[in-house]
Amino acid sequence: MPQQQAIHGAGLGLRRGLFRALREHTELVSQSVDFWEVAPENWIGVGGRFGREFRQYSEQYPIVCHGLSLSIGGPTPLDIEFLKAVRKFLDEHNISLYSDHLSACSDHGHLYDLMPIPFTEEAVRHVASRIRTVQEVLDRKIAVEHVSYYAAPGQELTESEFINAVIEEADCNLLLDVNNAYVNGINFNYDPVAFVDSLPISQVTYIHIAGHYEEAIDLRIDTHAAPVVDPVWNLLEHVYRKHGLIPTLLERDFNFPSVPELINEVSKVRQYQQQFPTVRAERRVSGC
Amino acid sequence: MVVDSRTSVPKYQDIQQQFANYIRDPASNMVPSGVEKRRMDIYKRLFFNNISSFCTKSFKSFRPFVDDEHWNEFIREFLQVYTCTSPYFKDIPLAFVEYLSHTNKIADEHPFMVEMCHLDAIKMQLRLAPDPPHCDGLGLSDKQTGLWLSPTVRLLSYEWPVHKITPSNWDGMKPKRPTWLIAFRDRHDRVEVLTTNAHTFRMLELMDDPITFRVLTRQLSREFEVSRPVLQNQIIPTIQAFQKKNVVLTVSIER
Repeated sequence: MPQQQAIHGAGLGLRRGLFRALREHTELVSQSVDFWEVAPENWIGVGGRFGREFRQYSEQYPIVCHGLSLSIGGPTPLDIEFLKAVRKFLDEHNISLYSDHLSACSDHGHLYDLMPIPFTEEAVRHVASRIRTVQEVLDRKIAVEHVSYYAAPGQELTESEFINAVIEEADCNLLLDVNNAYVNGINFNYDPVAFVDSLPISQVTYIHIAGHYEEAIDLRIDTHAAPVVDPVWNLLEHVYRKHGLIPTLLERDFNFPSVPELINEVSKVRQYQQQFPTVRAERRVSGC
Repeated sequence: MVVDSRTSVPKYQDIQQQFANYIRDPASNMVPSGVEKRRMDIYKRLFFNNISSFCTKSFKSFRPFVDDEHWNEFIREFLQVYTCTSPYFKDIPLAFVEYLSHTNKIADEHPFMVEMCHLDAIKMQLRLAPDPPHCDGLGLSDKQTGLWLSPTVRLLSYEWPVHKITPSNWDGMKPKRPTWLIAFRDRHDRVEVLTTNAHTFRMLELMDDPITFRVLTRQLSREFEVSRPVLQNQIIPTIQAFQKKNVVLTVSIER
């Protein structure tokens, strides 16, 4: 079992498109960002300038991995070769936390974006058994993120029932995304606070926060391309107030603002965290 | 895409397949039952735009040759017919080239399309390719020195000079000879493309696996029908120039 590396404070998604701008603000960045998140699919086997720069980050900061292509809810067998490559990557860079999405990103082939898993008992069993396999290959507990979605085909369970059942049956962790909770609350007309409170917060490794797009009055799209809105900050504050401090990471994938603006949002996470200084300032979600 | 009804697919997977079918090919598939079309069309749009923007970024040379309508047809057909097997996003461009090489949509006015996209895909691969092992600076003609084409090099032969065709200089004339290219990542991590000739191309091809100078010159002298001393004098400066560019590496060969 690999040594679990603790993360704390406020993190930021590390994207190739940000590298150059980040380089111009190294001091500000190192003062404000406690940990970084990468998609292993974008970094496994990468050399050259990008590979070298990534190594500098991984030597200087704690890194967490948030995958895109696991397709834990997909119909075809898990890609074990890929998982072995992920494991090697995690070991190489001393990364302990790995997560992916509670969704499918493939049918018979990869589609490179997230499709919802029908919320059914059968799907719970399928997904949980696959998560267990992943945990065996990676030799650690993984976390799954409840995704934002715009349609719930074939729904038999509530979203919360589905997530809770998967996490219990797979014995895995949860990546809580307060923006997804808010977006889905609007898209499916539920109370995001009650939804978040219904999740197994003790299993949360860290929290995602991000901006979204207002498609229609009853539809929000999780774009990671805009600033975080106030109701989502409020939801984060609610989680801290009720459950204590949990490391939190800002996701920004498109439409990048200037680095100082981006860092401002990371700092805002810290400001919220500082309101709750005594509670679980450092968090270590166990591996096994 | 039709799911075989004889196999026992769990109901939720059947629904997932309907969902994916609509994303891949909304014109020939129904919205999954119980799902509002407006919401399904968000998925249709997100998946399409994701692949399209990735391919637009990857095929910078070819994209200006086609209008949006044409381009969108390619992306749509790629989604409809192609099965991407790689979990890595960086492999999408080569998958797209593979699709292009099989599609019937080839525009007559762009016969170089597949080759141009291939070169773009290779350039992107090279930018991200793993670093080659450190070159030891061994003597070029030592018996235990293997001359080895760096893993950050691709030898490419095309019917069209796709490295220099642009919408403004494209004249439709097919060259009589093939175009021989060496695409590589240089010491400063920039991807460069050099034109070369058939002889140099062949020499580099022989370095795909480490080869000693002696075996290399013996082989080339036979193939080119040139005496070894003459050949050696000619290729030593060439190999040295390629060593400087990190195109050719020297590795120790175990005996």
